[in-house]
Amino acid sequence: MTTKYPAPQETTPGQQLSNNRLLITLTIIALSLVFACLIYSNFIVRNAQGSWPPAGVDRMDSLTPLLMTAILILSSGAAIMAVRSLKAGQRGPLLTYLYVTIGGGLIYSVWMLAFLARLLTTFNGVYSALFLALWFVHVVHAVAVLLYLGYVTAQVRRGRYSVAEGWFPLEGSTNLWHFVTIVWIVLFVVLYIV
Amino acid sequence: MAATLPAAGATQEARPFRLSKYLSWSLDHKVIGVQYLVTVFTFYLIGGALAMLIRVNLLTPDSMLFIDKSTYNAVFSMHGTIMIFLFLVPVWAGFGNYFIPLMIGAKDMAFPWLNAFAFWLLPPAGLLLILGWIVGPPQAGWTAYFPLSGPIYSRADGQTLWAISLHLIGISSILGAINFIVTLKNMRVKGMGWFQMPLFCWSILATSIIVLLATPFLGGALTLMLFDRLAGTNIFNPATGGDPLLWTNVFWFYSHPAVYIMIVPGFGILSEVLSVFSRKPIFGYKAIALSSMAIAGLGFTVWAHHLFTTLAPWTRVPFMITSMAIAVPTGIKVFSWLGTIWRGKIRFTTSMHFALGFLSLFVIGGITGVLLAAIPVDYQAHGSYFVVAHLHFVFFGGSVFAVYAAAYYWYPKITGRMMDERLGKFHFWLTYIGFLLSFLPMHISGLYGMPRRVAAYDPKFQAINILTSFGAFLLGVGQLPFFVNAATSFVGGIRAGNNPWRALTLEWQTSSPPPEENFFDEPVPAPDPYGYGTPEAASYLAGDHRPRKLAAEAGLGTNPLMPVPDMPDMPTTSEDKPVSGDR
Amino acid sequence: MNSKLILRLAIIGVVLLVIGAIAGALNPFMPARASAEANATDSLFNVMIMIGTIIFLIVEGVLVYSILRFRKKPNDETDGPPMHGNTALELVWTAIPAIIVTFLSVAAFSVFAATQVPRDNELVVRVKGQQFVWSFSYPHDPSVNMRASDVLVLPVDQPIRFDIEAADVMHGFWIPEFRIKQDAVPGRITEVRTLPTLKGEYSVVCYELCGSGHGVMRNAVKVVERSEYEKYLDTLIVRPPAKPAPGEHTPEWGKYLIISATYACGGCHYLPDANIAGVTGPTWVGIGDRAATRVPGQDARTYLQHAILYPNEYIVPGYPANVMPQNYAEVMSDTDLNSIVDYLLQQKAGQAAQAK
Repeated sequence: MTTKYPAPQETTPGQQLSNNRLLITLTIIALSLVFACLIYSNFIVRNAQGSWPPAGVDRMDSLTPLLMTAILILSSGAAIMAVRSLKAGQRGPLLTYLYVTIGGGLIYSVWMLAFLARLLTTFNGVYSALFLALWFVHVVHAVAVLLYLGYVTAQVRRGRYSVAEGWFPLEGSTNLWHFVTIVWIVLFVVLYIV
Repeated sequence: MAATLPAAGATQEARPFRLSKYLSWSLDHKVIGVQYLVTVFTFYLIGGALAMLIRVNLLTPDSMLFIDKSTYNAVFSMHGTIMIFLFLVPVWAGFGNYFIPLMIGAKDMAFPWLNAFAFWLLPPAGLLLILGWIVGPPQAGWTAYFPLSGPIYSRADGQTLWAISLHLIGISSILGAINFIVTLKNMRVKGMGWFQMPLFCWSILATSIIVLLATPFLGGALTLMLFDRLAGTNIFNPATGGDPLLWTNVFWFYSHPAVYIMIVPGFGILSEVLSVFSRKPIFGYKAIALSSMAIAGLGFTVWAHHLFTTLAPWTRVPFMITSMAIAVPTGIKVFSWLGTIWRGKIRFTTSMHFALGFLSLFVIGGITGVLLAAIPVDYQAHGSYFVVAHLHFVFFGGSVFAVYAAAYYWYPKITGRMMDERLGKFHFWLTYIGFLLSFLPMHISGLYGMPRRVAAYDPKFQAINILTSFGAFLLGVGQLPFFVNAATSFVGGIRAGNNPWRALTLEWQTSSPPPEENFFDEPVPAPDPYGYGTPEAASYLAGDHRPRKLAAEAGLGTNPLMPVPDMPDMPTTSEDKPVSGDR
Repeated sequence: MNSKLILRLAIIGVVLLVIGAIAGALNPFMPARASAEANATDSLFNVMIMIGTIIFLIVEGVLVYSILRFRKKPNDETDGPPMHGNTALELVWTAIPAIIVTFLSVAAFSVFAATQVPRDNELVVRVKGQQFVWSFSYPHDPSVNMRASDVLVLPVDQPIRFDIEAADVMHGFWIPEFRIKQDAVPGRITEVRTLPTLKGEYSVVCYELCGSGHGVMRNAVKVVERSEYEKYLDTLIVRPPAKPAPGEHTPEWGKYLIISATYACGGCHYLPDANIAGVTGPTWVGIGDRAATRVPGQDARTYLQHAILYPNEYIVPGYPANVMPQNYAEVMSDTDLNSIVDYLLQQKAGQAAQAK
């Protein structure tokens, strides 16, 4: 009588899901620390000036950024609805919500990149330098997550992802998008309100 | 019935070695591990050659090799950067990648694609750094303080390339760390709880946590440096409202934990090697495991001991306290290792030589570290050759010796061949003696007033510098036997068999080199990976894994100090015989 | 633990303490002690050397003993005893280092705290670090014009406070024999205190990488009697020489005009003899030799006069036009002009240095 040992452990789908979730969590932790570093630097440089904005420098307009905040919050809301639609099995709304999420993200990214390009030519010392640095790092990561969301949307159009089959890329990309939104809100508060 | 498994004691049939596999994109953690190791050792040779140039230049007090002293500044800046970021930080990713899955009984890392991606960031990053030589190399030291590293005083583009290169290396490091954490948390084989994990795994876990939490700060600082250099911002420029000390603080907030990134896996190796070659359990397993985590945590609280002459005076005091405190968990380890070899039956393999050498040198580095932690003493030692001595005692006498211990220990597993022991011992003695001759005298020249990073010096230091340089030349030449040995043993070494060292950890319970899926059957961990001298270990090494496997499944036998009850007889055939440990 | 073991350990302990004490008291690791800080620091250092030596000997001793005594015996392939740990021992070797580092922290703190207390009657010396030389400005009556010096002269037994600035990049102010060290950071003034107690000659060394000349950035330090210090300060005072009568001009007057920055020459020109170190414009070292060779047809004096009054007429190759002030023709008197030219014509290679 033979007793065959099973093959060396294959990674089960459950284990892969656990792995992937931890990956997203750890990535968000690392990226949060990058922004923590930049926010800390912002305060150090700020405190070295007499006043904020420094003497002779105009305050940055906060109306459009406020609008962008609203757009990002809406896009995150759409992402949450997208996940709910998938769980309810509604493919149509799922796709629509994904388009809204990406649309909001694109509006933000395009506006931000244009803003930064303009800032590069008109900036005046540390005040604008900090905006340039912090916003640039944010929009770079936002665009990266948007690319991931774009890939996920393409897959959804092909009929991939369902409760039965597994849908981690949708979960991961939308969680990362929420992270993008939250960081934006924090930066907005740090740069415009505090 | 076809035999599906190699018979006990059989050696792995030599699989044809295909160079192309190692030069191309592979998802196999073993291939990636070797790719890491070959890459970082190449950079080690480049960094070492730069060190030889430094020592030639310092034979005379007036910069004999580099009439233009800024070239000298570029040489030591590149030496430090390459040795730290392209050797000591990624080398443990190399050993970790190869051996973590094996040690925990997994088929591969949690994210094979991410693993390959993280590796392939490294060669272009290294090339970018070295390309800096062509456009004008960085000359501000590996610490790149402002304003010296800013656009006014470092016009050369090499400093910008330095920042971009380090960004890539940092991303590679973080991705690797995420992979290790997830793998260690989720993919240990059944029966291996956290406290049955080998100490090398604990050390990689602690290191990965440090990497995850600290490296982002380097990324932030480098981003701001790139903005200052490329976009004309003035974040670090005091003339227009910036703060050069912001760079200094954020840089060291990463770079102090970075030194623990470079040494903690070495601590893990030391536990493996000392235990195996004394044939004794590691003394105080839990203490060593938990002290690694303590060092990882405490390591984040000490960074401003690099700034005892910079910060506002009273802010210096807390960092003295934390820096002194971190000596305690480190001391626990050293004493535990001594407890491991005490009353053992020591086999003096080359790997063991380097592990014992580590112990003898690291304690000196540790003592000079405590000296540096005392603020008034640091006033004399900071920025002098005393610090150069200290850092080389811990980086070379510590980390590099641990790297060599790991290399000689695991070479048979990776290649299936034994390294030549005589050549290995020759390598060890040249290294040990050359190292002492080179770095011991620096303590004196430092305290007597020789600052570091100088192309020229006060003539009264010439005698010490000549002695140092000759020690360094001996040390440099002494590394060649290692590479010769690695190359010749690869083709002509004695075949190793599965477990030439009769070790208990899982990587030795499979063939050398392992098959692509790592194990031929379900890997069964020893209940105590350091149980040398116990009857359970003896039977495990004799090939009898099954009672352990069933006991593990039943939830028994996971406490190394509790004896396992007898198990009923199980049917055996030659097919069922698991891979044996003995050679 | 039997009594023989205890006795052995006691003997080893005593031997270690003796060796440690000798190492602490007699080690030659530090240079001469020339300040109160040096005495305090070295006491701390010696205690740490004593403790470090003992720990070193224990660790290396156990290591060497184990290597010799616990080698595997030939033909013995068995394993060693399965000792997993010893809680009591582990607690001891955790507690004792913790106690030691606590003690050392307290000792180091008290030495450190003493360096932060201002002493009575401190003399404040301003230090400037720049690529690649230190310069020192001594306290003096503001109505007197005293130039900076590149030699640090200090009266013995006098409390000193150094106020340190950095002109370009970060530098590091270190006097090894005093055991004091402080970064020079651009954009701020940093300070460090000392009390020199031993007369002699020392050096102030830059320890913070500051560029290609970092290794040669070393200046002399002299600790002397107070009277000698006062005499030295006297030599730094820039006393205007007698102003030449109208129509006349002297090189001494020209030198004074340059040193006192009346026409801001030192902002751009370099001439150590006149204590100016500008780099924007051409150096004046050896200008007496060069002046006649610049413009065909102009002798040395004419060239120098035109170079000052009509700067754009001839630009030395490698330098930009329109940087030199254009208005000296209106504001500089003939006496001043020719005195300056007199002095510049004296700047020849091989000329004996002017007596200070």
